[in-house]
Amino acid sequence: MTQASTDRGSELSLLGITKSFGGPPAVDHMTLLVGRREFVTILGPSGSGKSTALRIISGFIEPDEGQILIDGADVRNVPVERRPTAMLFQSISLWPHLNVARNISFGLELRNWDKNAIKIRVAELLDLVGLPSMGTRLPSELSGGEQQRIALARALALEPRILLLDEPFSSLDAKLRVELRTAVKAIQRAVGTTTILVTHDQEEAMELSDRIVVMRNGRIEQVGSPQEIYEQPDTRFVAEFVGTMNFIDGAYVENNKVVAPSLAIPIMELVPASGHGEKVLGVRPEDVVLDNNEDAVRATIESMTLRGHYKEISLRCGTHLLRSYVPKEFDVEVGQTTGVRFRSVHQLAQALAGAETDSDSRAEETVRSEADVKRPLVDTGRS
Amino acid sequence: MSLFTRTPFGRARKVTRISSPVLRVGLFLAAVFFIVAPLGWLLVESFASGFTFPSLKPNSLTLKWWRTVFTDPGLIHSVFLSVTIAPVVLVVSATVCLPAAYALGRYEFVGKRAVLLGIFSINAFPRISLYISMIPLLFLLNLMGTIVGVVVVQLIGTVLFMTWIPATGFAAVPSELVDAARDAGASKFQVFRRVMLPLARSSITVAAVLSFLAAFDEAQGTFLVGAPNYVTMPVQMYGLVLNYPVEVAAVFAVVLSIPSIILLLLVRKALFGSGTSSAMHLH
Repeated sequence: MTQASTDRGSELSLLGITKSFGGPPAVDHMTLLVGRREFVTILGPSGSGKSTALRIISGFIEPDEGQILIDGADVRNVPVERRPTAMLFQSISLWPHLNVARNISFGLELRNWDKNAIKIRVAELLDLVGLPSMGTRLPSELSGGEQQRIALARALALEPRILLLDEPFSSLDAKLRVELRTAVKAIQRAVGTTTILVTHDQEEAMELSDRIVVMRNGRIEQVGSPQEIYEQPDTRFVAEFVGTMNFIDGAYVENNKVVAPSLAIPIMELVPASGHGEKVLGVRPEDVVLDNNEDAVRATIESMTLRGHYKEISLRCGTHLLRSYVPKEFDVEVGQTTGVRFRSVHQLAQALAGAETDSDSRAEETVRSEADVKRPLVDTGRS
Repeated sequence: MSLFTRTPFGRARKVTRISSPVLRVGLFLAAVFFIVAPLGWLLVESFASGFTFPSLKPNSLTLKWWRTVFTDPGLIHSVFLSVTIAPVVLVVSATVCLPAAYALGRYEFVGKRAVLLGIFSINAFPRISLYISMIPLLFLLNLMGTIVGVVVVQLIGTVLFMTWIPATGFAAVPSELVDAARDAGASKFQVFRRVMLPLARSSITVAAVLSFLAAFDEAQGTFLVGAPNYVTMPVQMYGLVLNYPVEVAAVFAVVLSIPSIILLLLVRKALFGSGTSSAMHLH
């Protein structure tokens, strides 16, 4: 690669970005600072405002309020075509009437690059995305994964200072998706462009990001490294959206035990919440430990599923149903009783402090998690 | 995966050829019977000095009728008028209608349905009544008997084709392709020229051909507005059939068919690609 990769990539600051399309704001006072060469993922469910945020950065959508700074310069009045950003789209967006080389050189031609320089640059980019001999093909002659690689090459052609990826892997099948995102990560490292990815796929976010921004209802719920987001989620929503979490409603911690009306389960560690407001206790399934110690609380195994390299177990513990992951060698049977202990317990905010809509959205959330049988669940009192 | 190929109706896409030999022969015979034979007969007639009933073979061949047409200044003038006015109408129509088609295809606006219906209604009623109701207006604007008036009246027949057909072509272009072009640095006009036009090309070609033929064949309105100063070929045909030997009309009919044939061949190349040789591709 002949890329000079040292001075590529800019700082991006979003300061109080707000955008509403008539109803409640799609993006609500979003403030985010992204460092040079950083790979940041905006993670959230559909309707969380993540794509709107990305389209605001790229210039397709004008925010109602707030500032967008690239290397300290306000770009709010810079139209899409002159912003130093480039976007990789969700659906494949190569121009079908132009061959691969012409697709990549489109932006260079618009800027009146010299023919030879274009040729060199296109060859360089085709090498970069690992498709060196595809220049003369038409997009329709390429596979989905190849097309998306070419789209990436096209996005990088003008050496953007910020690369925006709008769920670029979602149109591909599972195997290609993993392959392509590994390639994208490697290319991003090599080129060094500041990159922002939007996705609803936590696995993707975990694998690719330096930092993850979890968004919900237009607001940032939490920002942190993948490890922080997983190990120290601030809110119930983050804990539920990234990974799996058992929630124990109406419980509190006393004397190293999780105490609820019908149970008291010993714990090893408490991860306290950082914010204020109403709290809920949560336990990751891998922290629900089966343990036949005297001290442990008894639970009944209600169901068991082999998930490949681990087993997923449903435990009935008083009125609560807990999900637990255990090694696949673990020899237990449905109907058997066992002792239960928690390794680490999270104290989580029920909702983001100051979120006006939280009672509504939480109600919605509960409905959703009850409907979704795969969710870890805890029924309080009934059954 | 891609929605388009370079030639949307043919090449670079899996196509089914008509495989049954019976069907192929049938289609070929139908084409001969309905297109080639009548034209061929006109051609024969235009060179025939006369027929001895019941033979279909001309008594002898002659260039008399062709000479009659091409020495009659009135008839030559008609040919000249037709081949100049129709392209002018086409250019004006494209200039006015394509931006409208773009707006109708790509944007939502208040009254869009009304505009589409309005354009549609031009072709929904007998054209002659429309022309007659226009005449007072043309008088008022001093356009009766002028070439501008003829262009205006011929434009009417092209509007439906030049808006509806390209509008669907523009509408079919996925918005990501437009966004991607904007993102790569194209201005709105460059997006139109470099992405929209090429991708909507086949629909624009179809619209252009239909519009050209509509203008070229228009007789009623042209007669009402243009006569006696501007008598185009189709208008002239009426007089020819009545006032000249039938062979002269045959010559004129042959000349009148030439643009249609040329356009048909061009369209075939533009839409189905030059690679399509013998059989027609079907979907």
